[in-house]
Amino acid sequence: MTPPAAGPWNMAVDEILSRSVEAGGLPFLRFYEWKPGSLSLGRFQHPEWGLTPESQSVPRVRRMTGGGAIWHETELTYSLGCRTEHLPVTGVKASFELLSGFLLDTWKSWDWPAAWAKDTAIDPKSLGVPTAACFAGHEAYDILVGGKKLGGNAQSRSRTTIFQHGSIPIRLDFETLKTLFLKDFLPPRQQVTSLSEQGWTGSSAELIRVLQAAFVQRTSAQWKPSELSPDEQAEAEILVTEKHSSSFWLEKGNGSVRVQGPAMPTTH
Amino acid sequence: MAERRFSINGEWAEKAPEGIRIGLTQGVVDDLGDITFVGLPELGTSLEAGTPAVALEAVKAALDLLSPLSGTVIGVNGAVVQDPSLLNRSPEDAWLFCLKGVPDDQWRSLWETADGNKNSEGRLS
Repeated sequence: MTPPAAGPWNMAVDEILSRSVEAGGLPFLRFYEWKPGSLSLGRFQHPEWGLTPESQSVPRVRRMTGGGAIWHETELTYSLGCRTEHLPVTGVKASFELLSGFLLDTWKSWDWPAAWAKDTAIDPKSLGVPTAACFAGHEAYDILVGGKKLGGNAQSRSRTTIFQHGSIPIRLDFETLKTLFLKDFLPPRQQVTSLSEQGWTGSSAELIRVLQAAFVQRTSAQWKPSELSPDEQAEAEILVTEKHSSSFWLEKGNGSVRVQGPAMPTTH
Repeated sequence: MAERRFSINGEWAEKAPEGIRIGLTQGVVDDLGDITFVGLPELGTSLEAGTPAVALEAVKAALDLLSPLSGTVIGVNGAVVQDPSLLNRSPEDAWLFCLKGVPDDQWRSLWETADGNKNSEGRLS
């Protein structure tokens, strides 16, 4: 667990940890919060797609991971990274099932009616359709509680490394979401939920303890708390300035590949 | 039929009249799932083998594909940018980009079969 921090710092630390895994370091699971609240865009998301003009004035970052935009404020975020050889599965969907399983296990252990989206009554044709707001869309391994989406997960992958982000909303502030997403792109209120809506009243620290234990049980991992080294701290500070606060990254997301992408989608 | 070879990472490379076209094998596409975004290198870009060339997103997983060969980008397949699902529907036809000036030894080092049993020099891989 790292203290609540600004978006660019949170993204830089994730990138440093991911690089460490890629270089042969230990897999990691990190929990963190955001201060101030920030909007994160998916790795390749157009910076205006589905977003209001007002959204341009709130703190903003771009994630390494795919998917749509998320407003991070009253939530707990996790990130994890491992090498592909650490997993007994190779496909993207199979890895989501394995790496997000600790969340499903936790909600089920609280007797919440939790299930993967693929195992619910959701129209299979709607699974995987890109959406500007992460919470507005469904993937096969999104978690639904009582038919409502609870949080979202996304990955970035290299040949050797899998990195996964997840948003666990403690509360959903729909009034703020309305100021950030255009009306047609807002997640339908009745199709999303949060921990507090489901009855959770504990602290973030308690939630982390429960999730950490569930992760260890699901993956048979051994847990060893750690902190960033001074060198990693210094690297993260450089990344904040040179990448995660830069307009080049925020507007285009062209970190390592100079690409010609598609025009901005006009529908969701 | 044009000569086709394969990289260790699951790309195919095919000799076309204008250069060498690069695409994804069925195995890679099956592994990725539904592809929803493709970003291709800019024309004229000089790529080194093993460096990021293509940006992809599938099932909320973002990844940079590495070029299996060095060369200059002389063509890109705009159809897959506009409709990324072409890669899922027809990966053997949906090429991504085309390179010119590929060193011959790099071409020869690619596998002759997608499962990588051997390369053209007969070495077991």
